[in-house]
Amino acid sequence: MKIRGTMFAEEHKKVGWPKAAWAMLLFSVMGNGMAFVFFLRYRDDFVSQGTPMFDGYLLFYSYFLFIAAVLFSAFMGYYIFSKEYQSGMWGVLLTKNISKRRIVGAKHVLFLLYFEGYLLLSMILFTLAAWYFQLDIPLADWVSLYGLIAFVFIAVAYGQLLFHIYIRNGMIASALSVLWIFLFLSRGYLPNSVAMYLPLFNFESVLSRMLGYTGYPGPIVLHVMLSSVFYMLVIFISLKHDYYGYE
Amino acid sequence: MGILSEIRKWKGTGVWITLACLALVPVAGQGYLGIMAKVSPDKVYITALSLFFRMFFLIAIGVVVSLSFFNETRKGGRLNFILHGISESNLLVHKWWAFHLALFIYVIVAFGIAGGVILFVGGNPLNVYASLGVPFVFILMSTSIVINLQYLMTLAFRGYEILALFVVLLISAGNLFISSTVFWIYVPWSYPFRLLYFDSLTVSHLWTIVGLFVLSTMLVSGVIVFKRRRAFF
Repeated sequence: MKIRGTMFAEEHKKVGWPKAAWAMLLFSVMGNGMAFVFFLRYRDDFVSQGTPMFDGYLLFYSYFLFIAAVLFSAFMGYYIFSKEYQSGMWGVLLTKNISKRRIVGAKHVLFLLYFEGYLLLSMILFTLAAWYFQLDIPLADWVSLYGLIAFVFIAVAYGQLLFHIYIRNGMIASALSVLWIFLFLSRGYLPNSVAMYLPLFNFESVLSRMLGYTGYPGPIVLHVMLSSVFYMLVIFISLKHDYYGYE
Repeated sequence: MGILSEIRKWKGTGVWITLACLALVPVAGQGYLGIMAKVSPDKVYITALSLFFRMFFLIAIGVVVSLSFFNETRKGGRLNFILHGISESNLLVHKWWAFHLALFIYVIVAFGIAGGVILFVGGNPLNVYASLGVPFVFILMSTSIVINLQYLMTLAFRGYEILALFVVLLISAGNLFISSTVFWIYVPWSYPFRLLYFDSLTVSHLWTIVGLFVLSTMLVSGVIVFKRRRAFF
């Protein structure tokens, strides 16, 4: 237990908490700020169409939260995984008696910790915006929304993490985050039966079901399970991946 | 040393595959949508290239410029200049020309892929592109503005080139939405996209683009001249 704690502390030290905390703040403010500005601009359109204000805000929020989450994952993925290729850290596994599982496990814990922090911060900003726009959110809804988002949204982060595990050049892995954004933007052109099984869109399916829309088929439990299977798969891949070698 | 040597340095870094991905995915994807929507042959290139110029092209510029400086720092390329007594401004000038050469060709390639989409809808790309002489020159000019800005940004974040890439990632995500609003003229990164709709631009917009092109080029030249006075930074 002590070794695991030490490993985590070492990984944390390598990334540097001020940098990660600032990034967390910047990306969540950016995502929420964009949602806030756009909702302010298009609020009247929702009123004229008869769409509930809460649903309208959630639409913008999920949209920008996704983009900011992918970019934040790229940032953290670069500093947690990709930088190790540059410094040749993985070579240590060949020369020292250290378990790869423990190192990668510590990296995953760190990555998840900061990503959950990002989601929590985003939810706090979401609540502040909801208070500003006088949107009525019952506490039970807030908790269930955060609970589901915190769990299902990890699939988005782990989608980006796949690039950082497989591509040795961190800059290129970060730049390829744009492909996830492209997939997200063109999801409307995908058949529902395909979009439903893509782990990247599970959070949207969950949100739609929570709001009572039937655009995406399948119960919430199915989407939660799909997300879980996806990130268990990524963790498994990351543990089995051959990291040795320089960028 | 030399412009082509700069481009040769990118071999084996994954830049070419990334550039191919960043051009093929959006142009082919959007082109397919244009074909499905039965857009007329003389306008389908706009549909095919819109997402590319809004987002992917900016990231391609970011990757090329930042990665080039990053590799120079990481692989100790700068040490050669101490050992061989060559000024750093030479490196900077060659890099600047190499970026322009590679990315201008990249724009032409993107238009070429969009030409394939025009063929699909039954048009002739040569006929369509024949009337785009002036807009194309302005697109290259706006490309140069974005390259210059990325160049200056990467120099400012010397040693932390990844931050320059993240800045352009954030800007391109914002540009997805800003480029469709009236505020696009304040964001130079949206110029290549807006120039696809050349008929909607006013003379003052074009003068702004020319002015920014001159200003950014002068700024880059100023930085390079400043470096000439110093042996190494």
